[in-house]
Amino acid sequence: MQRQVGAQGFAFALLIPAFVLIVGVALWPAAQTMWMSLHKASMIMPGTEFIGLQNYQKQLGDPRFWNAWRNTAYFTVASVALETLIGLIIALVLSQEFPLRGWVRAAVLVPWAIPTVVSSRLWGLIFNTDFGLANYLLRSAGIIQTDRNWLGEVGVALNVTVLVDVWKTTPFMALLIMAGLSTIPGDLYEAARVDGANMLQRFFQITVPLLLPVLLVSVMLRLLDAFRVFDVIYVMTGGGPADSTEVMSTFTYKILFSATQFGFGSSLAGSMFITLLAVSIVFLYALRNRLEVE
Amino acid sequence: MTLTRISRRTIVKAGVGAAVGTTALHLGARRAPAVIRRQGEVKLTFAAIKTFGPDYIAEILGQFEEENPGITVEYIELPTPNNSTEVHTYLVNSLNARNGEPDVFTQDCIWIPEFGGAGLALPLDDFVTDDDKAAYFPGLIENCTWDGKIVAWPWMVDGGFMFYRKDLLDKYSLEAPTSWDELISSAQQVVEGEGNPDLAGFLWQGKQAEVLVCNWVEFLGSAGGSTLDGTTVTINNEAGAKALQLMVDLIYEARVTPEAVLTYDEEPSRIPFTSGNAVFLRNWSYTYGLAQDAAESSVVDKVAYAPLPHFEEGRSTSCLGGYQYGINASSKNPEAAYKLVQFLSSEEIQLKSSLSPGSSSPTRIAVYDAPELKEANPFMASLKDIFTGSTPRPIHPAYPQMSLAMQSGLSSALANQMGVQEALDSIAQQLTDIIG
Repeated sequence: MQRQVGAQGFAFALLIPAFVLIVGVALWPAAQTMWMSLHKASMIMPGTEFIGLQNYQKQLGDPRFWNAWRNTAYFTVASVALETLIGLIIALVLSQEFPLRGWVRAAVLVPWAIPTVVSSRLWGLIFNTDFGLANYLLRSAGIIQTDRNWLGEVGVALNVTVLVDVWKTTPFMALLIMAGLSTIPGDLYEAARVDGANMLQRFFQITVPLLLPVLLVSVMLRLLDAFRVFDVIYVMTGGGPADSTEVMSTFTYKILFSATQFGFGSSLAGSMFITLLAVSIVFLYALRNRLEVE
Repeated sequence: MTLTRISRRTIVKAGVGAAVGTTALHLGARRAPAVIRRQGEVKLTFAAIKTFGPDYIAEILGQFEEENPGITVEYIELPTPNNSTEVHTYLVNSLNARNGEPDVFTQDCIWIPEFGGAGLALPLDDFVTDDDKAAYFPGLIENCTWDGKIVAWPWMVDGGFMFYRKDLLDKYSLEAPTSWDELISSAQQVVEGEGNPDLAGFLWQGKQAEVLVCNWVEFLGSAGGSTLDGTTVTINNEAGAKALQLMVDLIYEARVTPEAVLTYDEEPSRIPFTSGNAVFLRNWSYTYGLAQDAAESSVVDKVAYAPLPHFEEGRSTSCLGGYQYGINASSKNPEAAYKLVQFLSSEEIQLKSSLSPGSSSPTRIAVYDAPELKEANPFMASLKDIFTGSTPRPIHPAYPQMSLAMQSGLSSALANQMGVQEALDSIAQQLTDIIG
């Protein structure tokens, strides 16, 4: 008994550094932001004033907030759906045996390895109206007659940023899914083949259900990430034209650091935090049930 | 002297990461100004943007250290002015930290009321004399004043000009246009006559960014309008509608401006012009130096400049731009910091730093009359009159907030998402809320 308590105490002691780190770099700043979001505070106005939930109320009546919200939701759903689909296909192909597979696997990861700011700049040049490669290739192929204004056209610019995100992040999805595929025991497929299951049946009866937990975790990670998208949009469009690519992160950044409305800006960050927390809880709950069944 | 480079990326990243930190610091108690240390070595930090012109700051800081034994300067290089959002973020973060770093900084002229009003910039009234003030363009001293106090000190001035291809205009026996109608018809005539599908008529900056507001101030002034009249919002009156309608028509009606301007800030508009693919360009003064530099330009000696055109009821307007010095209110060595500002803004240094083409423009009137400048950089010497009458953007501590509202509304009209009057009314409503 005595020894057990001592061991337990030691175990807790071992957890303290991690705990301090998490509190210091994650919980404390998040709590500070949430606290700040209940205040009216800006750099141009000395002092702060507690105003309760008024900043959140202000968001609900602010068309800029809803615009950023819609754009963020669109960006998140579109990019994650495409990344999952394409990532799954790539993963299935790359799990087959073929010559030089190691090299191809490494090559697929290149976009993921390039810093987003750099690749956003590159894609910004590719989609430049005057001397961009996209217009040149599409015109040479006869697909378009006149140059398109990719990043200057409402309704087009946001899709271009989705494309860049898909290009960049699909390898990450493929990698996670590949890891999931490698955990599925090969003898299941063999048994199914012996029982006469065709390829589609094998895919839907074995691959999909066994892959689902990994898939859910990957989609959750990507959702959380895509929802906070900042660099692609900040570098390529800065939120324009006509606010059509303004997302929650860029909007929050502008309110916090250009307009220096620290209170209102923190409440925007707070809204993102609450949303993402809710998404995480839903996913973790779904996953827990799944794991318990097994 | 030591040099630290701050890239765009580090600032953006630090900015996002420090979002919480800044706000937390903001709540903290304000520190009383520290006592000046008399003994020993004084170390100053100086955060300055990189200009579009030749680098000279490192060199002159060496001269300052030589002339002022006992003071060393650490130079923090900030990004170029087209990344002004990042520079602003850096200043907001570091000044709010109130730890005295950087001692001296450079700021866009539009942030002066903001930093002055927040008590982050040291008032310089104890240091500067009336004689000092009289040496500069009067509009600039006004620009450096907030609430009756001098809270900044002039470094360089800039303004928007019309650059044009003199060779092409000569070919069609055209004069430099002074009205917008003339500009449109000249641009159309040249573009049609040249038959070059890559040649654009008139480029300017329509990206949803600060520079769009600068362009707007010029179009608006050219129609006789203004954003604010005292504390009344006048942006959505007849002159405003006329100015914004012109911007929209240049793109969709006269078709002398390509839709690509919706993605242009300074450099993306300058590059086609100096590659010979535009007849007219609205841009800052740095364009001229680059246009005359054979490494950057295929139109050397073919470019001329003039004040921007205007409507009958308005006047040619140049948006007042430029960066000015400020001293951190928390600086531990305000006297040494002022010495540095005094040195940097001295006639000697201003002259020295404006001699090579492409350099930024001095703020002291006397420098423009110096024979050395007329000989070495006649373009610069000829700008005196343009800078004397340049028009500032709205002067208000909440200007950055007002700017965001204007950027969004103007961009909506230019992208055909809103009618001209609708966009202006929406901006006016937001501006009234911000000021009120």
